[in-house]
Amino acid sequence: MGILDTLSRLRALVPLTFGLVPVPPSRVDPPEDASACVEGKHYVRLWLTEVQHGVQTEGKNEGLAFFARSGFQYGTQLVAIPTFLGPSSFGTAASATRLSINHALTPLFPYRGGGINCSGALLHTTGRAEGSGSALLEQLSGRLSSAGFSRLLDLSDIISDGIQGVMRESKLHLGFASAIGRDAPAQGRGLAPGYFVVFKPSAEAVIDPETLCVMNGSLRVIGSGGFPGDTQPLPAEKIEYLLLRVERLSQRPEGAVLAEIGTAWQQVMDAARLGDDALIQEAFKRAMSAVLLSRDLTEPDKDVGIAAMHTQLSKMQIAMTGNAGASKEIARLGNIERASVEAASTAKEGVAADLAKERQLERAAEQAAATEPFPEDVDHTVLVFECKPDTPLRAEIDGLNVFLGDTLIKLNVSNHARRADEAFSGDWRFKMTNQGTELLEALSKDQRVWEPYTAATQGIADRRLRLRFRGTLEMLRVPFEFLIGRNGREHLVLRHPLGRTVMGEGVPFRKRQGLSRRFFNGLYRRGADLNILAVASNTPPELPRVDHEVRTLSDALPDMFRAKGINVRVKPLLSEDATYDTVINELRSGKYDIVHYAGHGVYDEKAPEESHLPLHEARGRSGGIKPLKVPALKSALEESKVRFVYLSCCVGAAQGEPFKLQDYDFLGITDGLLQAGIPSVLGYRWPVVDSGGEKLAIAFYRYLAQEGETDTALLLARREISENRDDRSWVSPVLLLQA
Amino acid sequence: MIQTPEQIADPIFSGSLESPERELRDAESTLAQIGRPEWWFASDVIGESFKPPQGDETYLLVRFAFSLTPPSNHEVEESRLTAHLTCPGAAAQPVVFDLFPREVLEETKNDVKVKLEPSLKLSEAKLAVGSVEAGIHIPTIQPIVTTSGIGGGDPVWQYRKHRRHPIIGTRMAYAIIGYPSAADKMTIQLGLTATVRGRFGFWPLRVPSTAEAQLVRTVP
Repeated sequence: MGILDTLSRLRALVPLTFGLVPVPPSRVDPPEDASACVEGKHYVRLWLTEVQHGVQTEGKNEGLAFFARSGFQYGTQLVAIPTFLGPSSFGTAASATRLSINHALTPLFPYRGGGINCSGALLHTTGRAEGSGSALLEQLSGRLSSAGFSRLLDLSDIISDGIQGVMRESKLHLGFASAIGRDAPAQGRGLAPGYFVVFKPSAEAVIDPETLCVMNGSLRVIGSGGFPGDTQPLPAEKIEYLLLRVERLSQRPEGAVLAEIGTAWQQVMDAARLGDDALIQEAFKRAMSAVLLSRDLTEPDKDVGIAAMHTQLSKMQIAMTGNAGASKEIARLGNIERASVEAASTAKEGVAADLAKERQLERAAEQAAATEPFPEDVDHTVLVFECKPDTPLRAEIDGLNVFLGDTLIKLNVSNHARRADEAFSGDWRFKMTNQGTELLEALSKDQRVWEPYTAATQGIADRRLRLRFRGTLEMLRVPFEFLIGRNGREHLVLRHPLGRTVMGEGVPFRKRQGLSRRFFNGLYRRGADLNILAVASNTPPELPRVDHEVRTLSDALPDMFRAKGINVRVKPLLSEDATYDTVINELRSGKYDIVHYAGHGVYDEKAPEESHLPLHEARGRSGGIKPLKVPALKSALEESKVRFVYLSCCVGAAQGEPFKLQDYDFLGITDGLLQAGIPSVLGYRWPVVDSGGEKLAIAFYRYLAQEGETDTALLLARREISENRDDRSWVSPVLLLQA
Repeated sequence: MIQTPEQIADPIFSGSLESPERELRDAESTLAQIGRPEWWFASDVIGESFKPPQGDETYLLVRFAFSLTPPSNHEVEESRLTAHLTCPGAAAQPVVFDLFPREVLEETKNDVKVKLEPSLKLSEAKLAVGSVEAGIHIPTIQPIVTTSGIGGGDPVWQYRKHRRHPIIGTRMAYAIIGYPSAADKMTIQLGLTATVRGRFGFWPLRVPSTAEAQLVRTVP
């Protein structure tokens, strides 16, 4: 009997997703009894529970399968990793026999405080009744229990040996083979942190392990271009797979991440020295691909790497162009920038030299950070709810998985979207509150979902708990901004910074950082300008406030940021001058960090890619109206460095239904900006009143200059506008944050 | 015979209707036109058979017109054409004697002939084709129309969407109005509202407040 035969029998017996499936990463928190586990004193051990199932046919045991639930042992207590396989999942079939065996998967290693991220889990089955699976695990756990290892990363050798043993026995294949084993190039030995794939191709599928990569927690095939955008989903019928992930307990420093992609990064530095923008962009794109596709870097490592690449390239360019202001700044920061440039220019001398310079850079950067305008160590928590229809809710706190529900979220997206639109008119506050309450109930089917929220709110100001709703593009249509808090009265959107992140098929990688404290501090350190394009377009019907809005912002923005030592350059384009051609040319110029548009917005429900921003054809508000449609907007911005687009117009955040993508390329204006790689967009779900739009925009930028974060700035602007609760401008904005 | 045109030839307002919240940054708007009120002395229309009621009043037949064009994917659910009639400085005020159409609930009426009776009533006439009588010819009247204001100075025509007849295009209506001859003139303040249903639900619209002055007309 083959593996698949046994699997199919087991599926019949056990009604769950059985077989080789992705395993969601989990976080294990120490037990409440703190005395059981003290940092630096107690040890932690990873263990597995093997549960055996006997499959009976005509009274005989014919098959045996097992899976392993993993957990951690803190001190003397065992804490199970909350996986998708709960005890109830095994069913109660009388014909099944069950046997649980605990295996210590690792030796004890020192407890370092807090929870532990664990993404690896084993799921395996065998078709024979002799218990070979059990024997394998026993062998594996025996090896893992061998003495001589005291740190998690040092366990890599045994884990890799064990996995390879399982592979051999079960004739499964191991993806990313080069990263496994003692000859792994990145570490010199052992199992490097990152994803590992165990896969079993179907008979007709030919899979080259080297073409596989992991993105957003699922396995994909890299296209011929080698860039992340070229990847394709793996046809489900062609391969069954299991993702294993090993993570570090702490992030790598920037230097170590860049060393990981040494050659690619060196090419960026070479291009920067040549001063060839096209070459820099190409090399940068490749280096970013190298980071994102790296099999050896964890997700936090990748974030560190991307941020480091931006910072270092900027420093390099400044140094090469001899910008006077930058040179002054370089002098002020002493060895920091010189170290960076030297590190880059001597990259060929090897990673060690690079790392040494990097450490020097870090030390100097720490000194410089003391005087930066926006402290980056402000205590805040990011609570992410990953919410998709007919999928259990997931929650992360600061990047760590803390919750995976076992109840499917029932959300009728079309119905919610339609009702959210219709809530605009009439007694809108009643309708909005009603829908917000319903949404809360839909998300709260499993009451445990609020445990992470309750935990995250402990000892932290409301404005420092930043909520993110992450989901597919379709979920942008669900009005999470309407959500009512658990007390049934407060609007979450007035309590916490709230943003959206779009993930899934067809969502490009962000090409650059959004606006953040780190970004603003970078500007400050380099003495670089914050460049803003502010466009007013007063097209019929008349909008008297849009020119006033742009004039006010142009005058006020430099003052707003001056207090933080950041120089702002605003290019105002008032309606008289904001012709289609002028606006397109400015967008294409690639000069701007922020684009602000104040005017009419048109969302075409039938053909969403026809959605547009109306502009005059000729100067002096003459000629006809020429719509700046989504495809043109995307094309103009995709090579830019724009980090934030503010759509101070009606329905900028309106999105079409996903099936429209069969006939059109874009689902609305925000989708076009997302496809252009813009990391952050603020737009309105509803039509916005001319004066309300102006008020929110001015308040938003004022708070942005104070706080340095778009979501917090929007929260404070919403609160200010909501002093008049009847002004819809506090609830209508949707903030997209592709972070 | 007064021929009712199918288009507004002389609009006194032409533009977008405004939401109560004014100036939305939404380029999709419902366009409207309001025609200049046209009038005839009832005595001229009726001719020799006209016998004015007691009292010293002047009687006019007045034609009102408006048109609505909602954006695509929008429907006008309901619309109201109003006229506020006054004689500034006069003790007596204008009175509406009759309205046409007064009520059309189900079927579209085509090629309608309306007779102005000597009693100052507007009644649908069954005239032989080609006959020449004092009256009005209206090419089409679409349901649903209801009216109010007879006997007062504020006539209202209310149009509601019919399942087969959306409110789109031009609508014309007639009124018989008497005003004291001593007043010399009568002032008509027109108004137009509409409730439009679109993606964002039902939305009440009206003529922009800035255009109200141009909707005041004096007759004769």
